[in-house]
Amino acid sequence: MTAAERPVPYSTAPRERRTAARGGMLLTFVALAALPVVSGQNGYVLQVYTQTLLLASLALAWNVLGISGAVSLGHAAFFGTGAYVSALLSTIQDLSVWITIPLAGVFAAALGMLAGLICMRLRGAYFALATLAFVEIPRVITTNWDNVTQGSLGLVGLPGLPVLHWGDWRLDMAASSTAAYYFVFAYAVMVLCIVGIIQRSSFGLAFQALREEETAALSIGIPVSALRLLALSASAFFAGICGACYAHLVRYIEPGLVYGLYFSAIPMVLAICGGRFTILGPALAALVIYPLDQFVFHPLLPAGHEFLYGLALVLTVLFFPKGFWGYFGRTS
Amino acid sequence: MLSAVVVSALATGSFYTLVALGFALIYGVTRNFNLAHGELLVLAGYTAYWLWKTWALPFVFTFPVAIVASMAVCLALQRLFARLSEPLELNSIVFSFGIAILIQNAMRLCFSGNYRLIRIPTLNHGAGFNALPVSYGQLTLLGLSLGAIALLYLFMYHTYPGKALRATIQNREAAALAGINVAAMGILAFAIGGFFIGLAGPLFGCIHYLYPATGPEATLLAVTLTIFAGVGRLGGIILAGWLLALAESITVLYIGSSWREMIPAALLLGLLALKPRGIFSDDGR
Amino acid sequence: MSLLTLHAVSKTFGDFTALKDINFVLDEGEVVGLVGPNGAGKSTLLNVISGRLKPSYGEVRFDNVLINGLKPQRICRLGISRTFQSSRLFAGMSASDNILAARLFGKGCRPRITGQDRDAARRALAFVGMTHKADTPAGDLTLSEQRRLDLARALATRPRLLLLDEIAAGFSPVLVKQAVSLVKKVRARGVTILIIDHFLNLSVRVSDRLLALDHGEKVAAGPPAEVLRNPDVMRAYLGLRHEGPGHTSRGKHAG
Ligand SMILES: Nc1ncnc2c1ncn2[C@@H]1O[C@H](COP(=O)(O)OP(=O)(O)OP(=O)(O)O)[C@@H](O)[C@H]1O
Ligand SMILES: [Mg+2]
Repeated sequence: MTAAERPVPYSTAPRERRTAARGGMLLTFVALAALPVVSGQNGYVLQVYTQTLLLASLALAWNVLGISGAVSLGHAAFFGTGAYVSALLSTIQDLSVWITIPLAGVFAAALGMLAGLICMRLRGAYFALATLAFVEIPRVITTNWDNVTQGSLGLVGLPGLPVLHWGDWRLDMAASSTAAYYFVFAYAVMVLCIVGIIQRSSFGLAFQALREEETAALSIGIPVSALRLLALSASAFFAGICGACYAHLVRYIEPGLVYGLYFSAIPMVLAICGGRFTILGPALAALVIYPLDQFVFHPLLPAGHEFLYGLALVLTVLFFPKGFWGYFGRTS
Repeated sequence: MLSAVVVSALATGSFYTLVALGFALIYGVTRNFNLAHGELLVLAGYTAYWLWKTWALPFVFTFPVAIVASMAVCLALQRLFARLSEPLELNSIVFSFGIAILIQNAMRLCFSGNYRLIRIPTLNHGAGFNALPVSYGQLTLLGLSLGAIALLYLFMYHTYPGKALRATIQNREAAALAGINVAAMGILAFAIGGFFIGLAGPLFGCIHYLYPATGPEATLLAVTLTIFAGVGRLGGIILAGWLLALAESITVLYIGSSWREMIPAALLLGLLALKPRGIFSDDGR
Repeated sequence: MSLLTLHAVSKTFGDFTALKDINFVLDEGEVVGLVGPNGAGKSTLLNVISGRLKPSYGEVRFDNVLINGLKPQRICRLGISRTFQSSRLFAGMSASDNILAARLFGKGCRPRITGQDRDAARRALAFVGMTHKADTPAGDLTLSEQRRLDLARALATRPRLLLLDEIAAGFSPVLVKQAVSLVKKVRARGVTILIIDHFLNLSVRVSDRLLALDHGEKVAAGPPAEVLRNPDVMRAYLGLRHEGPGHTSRGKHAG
């Protein structure tokens, strides 16, 4: 071993920071897990946090694609499709919500695959514009297929979240908002874990490589097109499940809402503000921004409170292009 | 019947052209995709509506105010767009998306979510060309869009700043090397873009309903026409506008009016999917 | 044993002919220098072999398999890898991650990153003398370090044929010397090498043969001394008329 091969002295700063981040994560996790107990019977708080976690999952789902460098402005396509598939299958086909929620993910993933095939050759801005247009297609089809979907009237009285059986033990998530909260919490944690695993596997490396230098990525054998397609359909899968959960949580959907700008904008805004090349960023942004919106700005400005998302996005792009967690969290 | 369809498609297409011009110009010169375009346009429409409704200003006189106002807003925005880093096209999309959300919510706050329409009855009256069923409104649109294109053409081909603008559209680096102040061209583009937005906004308010969430429709239209025509091909935009309107009329006639909304989106997707590099050269990696 | 066979390879960009009817055979274990003036078509030929460009006409065979038209990542899997004339490193990734990515995807895709992979990445960095830069983002490296990292990354895919594009361009004599010994080390591993070398500072010292291009055409091929003496090469490439061979490469200027 030559002198040059000696292990590099590892600076302690990142390690300390990592410990701090781990501690913060654990604390957040515990706080979220304890929330139903702490908030007592306050249904509104619980409802807001259930929605927060749903949006966090959606932002994480968005970022499964975002990590490959692509920016989607049309994730409502997958969210809305998931919502409609699960709603229709559970009402018309009378299937259990346990089955329709994953099926919603599968349908959304198929749609994602289709979008990916259409946009195969597009990068950067052009991909973003294509997703902006793409969302119109499932929306118009859903609206016009009114003998099944009730068109723009929407679907009301959807079944609630499923009932959990365990021997004698029953947990009715439709009746108990606490149970519903934990359901969404579990989903958010699951998506986070999956994103984390992907990121730490060689695929995370490949995604970073292909977003930084696609030509070189190809030349070292990374199957760029296949990975992009995979990222888009996986992202659509998780977003579709978010949509399905939303449908059964709120129990009312309409095309203008679930395919609307809101559900395209929110995951993008949260992921970019949190840091689109980070694992935790999108979820953290959701935890900060949505409660801020609901508890502070909504009471102040009932009509225009969503300006917050625009403001957050504009400030991020101008001053923190890497996003919040990209700046203050793990930098690599 | 057919002539009515064609006339209305031409008028609608001309309107689309007016809607898209500002966007196309700003993109061509600065490579900034301004997704807040539709919101700016609706804002100009609201300005006109407000002047017309509460101050009882004649509709024609709302234009100068709307134009000045939207030029001012565009110039202010230009300061922010100029701060964006590479990749410019993508960052401008994300940034302007945020601006769009901001403006949309500001409008919701100021004008509520209600639908507003600037009602100008005379515009719907027939202009009375014997067999040809043309209304004054349709004639106005046709005249305005052709006039705007002609004006722009004169400016771009016969004045020094116009030529510099054209050079910048064709090749920024080469233009900069030739001594053209590319930054100043960006400001000029936003000013002219603001002018066209201010021109189209009040028209939007009397053809289409005004409500805070309608901006993205106009944006999508503008994006589609810009991509259709190709960078800097301003003449192509009016053609693209007419073709799009015709495609929409045909869809309404033969498939159903509810499918009309899908046409610009489908067209844009098709263009991007089939000619991603033919129309734009995004291959500059 | 021939490893790479180019048969009547041509490449046109619109009206412009960048490569015209190139025939060449590269034997296993050989080191060949691809030389020629600016715009001769050297990088284009490399791009054709590595799959970035499709030849307009002709055949490229690797190990008797027809490879023209295959995607770059397929060609990489077959055992050809390359470096780039201007840096295409993953600038935001650490030097060792650059190599790791190549190792994990160079032959198939392996989702798990094992300790073995990390060791291999470390050894690859040591091979090019960059152990101390393992954690430095590739974008922060010096020019010579970037070139070496590019080489290490290409090697990490475990190629049988390595294509090097101007790996010593702009180097000082000391750095060129290092590059020469590095290429010799790679060769000692049994890798066949095609080196583009515009300035002739590297290829004449390591190549068995030279292939000279001008205006997209092959003007000469053979042992370095012979090619450099070739009047067409001197005229076309060196822009000299009657001077002796190899003078430029040795830094002596005749007349
Ligand atoms: N994608 C392309 N489109 C059009 N022309 C191209 C393209 N790529 C290369 N060329 C042209 O082909 C010719 C050969 O280029 P190439 O890069 O192969 O030259 P080279 O021999 O590598 O020169 P250098 O020493 O400058 O690297 C040049 O005239 C170049 O302009
Ligand atoms: Mg070259």
